[in-house]
Amino acid sequence: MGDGVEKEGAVKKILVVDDKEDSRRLVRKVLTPHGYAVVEAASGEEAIHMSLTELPDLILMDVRLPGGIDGLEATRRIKALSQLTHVPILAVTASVLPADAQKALDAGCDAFVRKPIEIDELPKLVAKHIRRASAVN
Amino acid sequence: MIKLGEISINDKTSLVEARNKIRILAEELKFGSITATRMATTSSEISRQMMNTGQASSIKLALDKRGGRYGLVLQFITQGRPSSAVSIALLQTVFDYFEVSQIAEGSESIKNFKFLHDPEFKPTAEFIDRAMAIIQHLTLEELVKVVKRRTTELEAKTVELEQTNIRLQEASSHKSQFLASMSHELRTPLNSIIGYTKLMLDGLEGALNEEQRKDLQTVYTNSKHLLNLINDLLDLAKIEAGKMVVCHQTFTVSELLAEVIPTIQQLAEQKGLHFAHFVPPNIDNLYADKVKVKQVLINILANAVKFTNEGSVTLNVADDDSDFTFSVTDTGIGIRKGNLEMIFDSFKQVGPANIAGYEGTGLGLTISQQFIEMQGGRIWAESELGKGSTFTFTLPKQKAAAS
Repeated sequence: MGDGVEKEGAVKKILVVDDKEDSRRLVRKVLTPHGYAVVEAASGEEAIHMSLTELPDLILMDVRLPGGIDGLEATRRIKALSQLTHVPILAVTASVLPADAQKALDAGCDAFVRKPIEIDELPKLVAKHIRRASAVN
Repeated sequence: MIKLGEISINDKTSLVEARNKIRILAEELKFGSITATRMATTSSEISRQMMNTGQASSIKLALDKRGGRYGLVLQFITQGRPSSAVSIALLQTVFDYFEVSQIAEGSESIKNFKFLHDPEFKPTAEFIDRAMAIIQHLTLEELVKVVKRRTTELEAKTVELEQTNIRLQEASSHKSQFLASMSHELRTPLNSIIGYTKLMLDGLEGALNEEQRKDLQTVYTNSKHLLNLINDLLDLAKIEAGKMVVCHQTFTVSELLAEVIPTIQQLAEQKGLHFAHFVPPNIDNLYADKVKVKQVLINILANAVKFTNEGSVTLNVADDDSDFTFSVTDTGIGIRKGNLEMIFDSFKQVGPANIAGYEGTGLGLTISQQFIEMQGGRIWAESELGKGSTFTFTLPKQKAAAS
């Protein structure tokens, strides 16, 4: 518990992007007890917008999103923004195809989380990527 | 039976012709010139005797098999009862078998069979064409026509086969596509079922009473089982579609075991079983598909734990000059002798079948067998009912291509 709260007290913010409310709520319920602040976006467009306004420490990006901008395209656009390029993005997908994993990495995602998510593992993975990103910066 | 043709006998000229054709055909069939000549003269003699009964007759020629071996069939057909008129003794000196039969009212057949000298002989399409040409006495021009016709037919067949092949590939790719999206669609709701159940089980939604905990545990176990089933089905479909790729890499036995032992140790402890593993100190590094080897090892170890209620599960790893051997021995319920063969078949769980507590997808061993054989290894089981089982698989030692 408390992975999201640094010693200085700054709460780490996670942006969860998924078009399904119950998927977002699940991630929120898994991460909140670990001290993270969770904000949510339901589309690729919203994800880009909220990345800029909320400046999250990490983004959990569902790959398959309705509308013109899917998770991969949203990732490309976010990574192209200089103020956001360092923000780790973890692709979340129910696909088991190795090709899809590769596509996510090619789009700029830092890692790949498979659905059904392992709720014991997710907080650890999130913490690891936030640590890594802050070490780089 | 491969019919080669029929020669009509109605006068002296046709008799001579029949003799020549049979001799040439017999030579083509590598009977040797002496046998060929004897066959030809005997046949024309029989035909002459039949002709003398005053009835029209003919000789049908064919290739046929007896006991898996090819021979020439010469069948004399005539009106009346030639068997009383012709010299059966003469036939016996030339042929290996003969058979007299009534084929219609007032019509009789004498069918003769002689094995070819070459037991390995198999008639090719070209050979049959040539034999038919000899019997029909085709001119060169006619022969060329036959060959041309057959070539055209073959070309059409090739095009047809290519099209079928493309259609099959398309169908297979559609099937894979379908399975991939099906798997995606099934995982999405499972994400919520498994996730929320785990959330409640972990007490994140408030305290549970014992009954609620038991019920939720049932939901959780079953949804995990469903997920395993989906994974296994997808693996099997990939194997069947020939899409399963083997990715070799170099790794140590201890690296492999580090990813396997903790899970198995935990499963064994939950059932109060003793789990031990033995690896010789200087074992070589493996060069194999690590993910697949790991999956197989976990599968047979988890099976051993699952089917053992008391005692132990032991993993032994060894190597010699050519192979690695992994074997898992348990003191479990064992497998009946007659069922040992079946356990690697899809959807078959044998022994005290399908009793509660032994649920599984029934696909694990099928997939394991495929994964091991893909890498040139072997997997097998030995067992004694009530005493326990040993599952063993081997992996050939391969060196990373030195390039």
